Order: sequence, then C-alpha cells, then structure tokens
Amino acid sequence: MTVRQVTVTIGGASATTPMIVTDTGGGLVGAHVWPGEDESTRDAIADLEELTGRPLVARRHDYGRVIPAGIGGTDTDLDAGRARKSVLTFRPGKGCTPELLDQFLGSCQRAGVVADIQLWPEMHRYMPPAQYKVICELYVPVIHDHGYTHTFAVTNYGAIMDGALASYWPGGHLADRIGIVFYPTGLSLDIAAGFADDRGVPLGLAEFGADPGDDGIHEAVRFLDYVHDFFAARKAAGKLIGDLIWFSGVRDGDFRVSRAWEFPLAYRRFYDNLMT
Amino acid sequence: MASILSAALDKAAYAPGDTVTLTVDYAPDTPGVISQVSTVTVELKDAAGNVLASSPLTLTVNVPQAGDKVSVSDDGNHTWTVVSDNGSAAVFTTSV
Repeated sequence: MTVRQVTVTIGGASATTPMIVTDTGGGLVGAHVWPGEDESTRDAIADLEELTGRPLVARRHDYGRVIPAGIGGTDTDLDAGRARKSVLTFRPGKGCTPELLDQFLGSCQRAGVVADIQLWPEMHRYMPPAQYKVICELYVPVIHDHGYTHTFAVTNYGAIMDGALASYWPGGHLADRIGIVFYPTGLSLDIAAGFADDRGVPLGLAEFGADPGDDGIHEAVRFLDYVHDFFAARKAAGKLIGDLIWFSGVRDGDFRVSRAWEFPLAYRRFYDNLMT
Repeated sequence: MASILSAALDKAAYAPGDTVTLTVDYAPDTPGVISQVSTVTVELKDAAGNVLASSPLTLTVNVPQAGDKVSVSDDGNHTWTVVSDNGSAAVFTTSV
C-alpha cells in the first residue's frame, strides 16, 4: 500500500489528508488505540496523531464476543469515510452467527470502510485447533464475500513454543495474512517469517509493544529497533509485509506510544520506512 | 484569511485505477465563486390570458470570478479535476 498526501490550498491556507492506495500484499503501520479513563476513542486517536506527527492509517479495534448489528454508533464508524483501515477482531461464540457478521460487514462495506478481520486472535490460548478451524470455515467466507481479508493471529511465543502456527493454520483459502502478537520475550520472528513465506502470505504484527516499566527503556527501544530492522530487511528483500499494529494502551502493562519519548520517534520510523 | 474547514475522500482506500472523489468545505476570504439567484415563474393561462396557476422556480447559477480558488495536488502527481464549486464546497476527482 502507498499513502499519498493530498494537499488542498486556498489563499494562504492549506490542509493535508492522507490517501491510501492499495496494492497486492501491502501493509500499513497503525495502532490499537486504547483510550484511557474518561477519554474518548476520538480524542485518543487525535492525541496519538499529534504525538507521532503521522496520521493513523490503520486502527485495530476489539469487538470481543459482540458483533454489532450495524456500523452506526460503533467504534468503526470513526473510520468510515477516512483514509484509515479498520482492523477488527471478533471472538464469535454463543449468540454470534455468520449472518450477524454478514450484516455488520455489509454495513461497513456500504460505509466505505476498508477492513481486515482477525477471528479469535491468540486462539491457541482458548480452544483446540479443530474448533478454530470450524469457526474459520463458518465465518471466513462471509469476510471474503465483502471483499475483506482475514488475518490469522497467534502469539510469537505460542508459534514457537506450542507449535500454534502449524497446528492452528486453517489453510490458505481461510487465512489471507499472518499477524503475530509480539512482545519482548527474547524470541525472534524467524520461524513465523519462514512459515508465512512458505505459504506466500504477508507477515505482519497483529499487535506489538514494549513496556519500559517491565523491560526497562533500553530493552524496550532495542525491541522496537529489532522490529523495525526485521521488517525493513523483509521490505528490502521484496517479501510480503502485513499490517504492523502498535498496541497503544494499558493492559497487563503500559504499552502506550506516549509512555516514553523514544516511542513516538520509533512509531515515525515504522510509518516512514516500513509501509509497502 | 481563507480557511479549509474539511477535506474528505469518499473512500478509506483505493485500488489502482479507482476514481477518487474529494470534497472540500472552505471559507474564502474573497469568494472565487458567487451565486446568482433568479426566480423563474411558470404560469398556466387560458385562452383569454387569465392565469389559472403559477409556480415560481428558483434558479441558482454559480459564476466564477477573480478571488480565492481551491486547488488540490498530491505527492503522486495525479491530476485533480474540479467537478463542482459553489463558493463554499468544492468537489474534485482524480484516478489513481
């Protein structure tokens, strides 16, 4: 994907808006924006954009076990009509049906939302492989019917230590991309990259981040440098890259882009160097 | 000074070959377009010339003049074409 900057001018005034142009296999740099207490998602997005100096062109939102009936009034409505891709996670179970997903994605499609869907990210922590594959068989055709993609999202730890990539992989007809949930554990992305490359699908990060409180700022920066250099090397080698989503929130740690002054600079480097 | 109130694309993302529509709401310092409003009255008369019914119609013509004009460009060097401009909202298109 390419992000073009469109500039509007009149008299001495000007404004710039990003325009996303897609191509095969490309990926975006974005964030899972997790608002703080008494903060709206809209404000949290504005804060992130101001802090990083870059537009938020991909945003992840977790709908959990709820599939809304339509886009109106939902979090995704904030992305409609904007140069921003919605990365949506769903954990369908009791009360969720493929028909409900069809209805919701149809309303997103009519509103002009560009979306990528993650079904049960980190599924290996919650269910056996056969159950996940049944879910994919039921829901992924609905995703594809609306022209959207499905990202198979597992943790890097699970991919390596539990063999989750191989055991949960639903097949290329049901997974368009691989997204790794990646936090500092000392493990590299090499195994995940090899798995993705063998299947000819883009490799991205479903979420990533570092908490200086846990890891120390030097380790956190080193982790982010590793992520940058790893995907820069993939880009230089012409390998497929998916979306890279920074988890900017507080959940089992403080991973916000605002956490340390080094983080917005790292985000800018990702944005400027890694989008394809 | 003129100001740009909003600039909105019609889709979140485009595939190569797509047509892009950009709507710009703006407030000019010196209007580049003025609206001339005329009222046209349609009358139905009988043979004696008596008006049986009439219906006024409002006709608005946007007339360009020397003043602030919106222009659009991008870093991909696409050519943007103005589709309409009523002095406060302008619509542009291009293809990518």
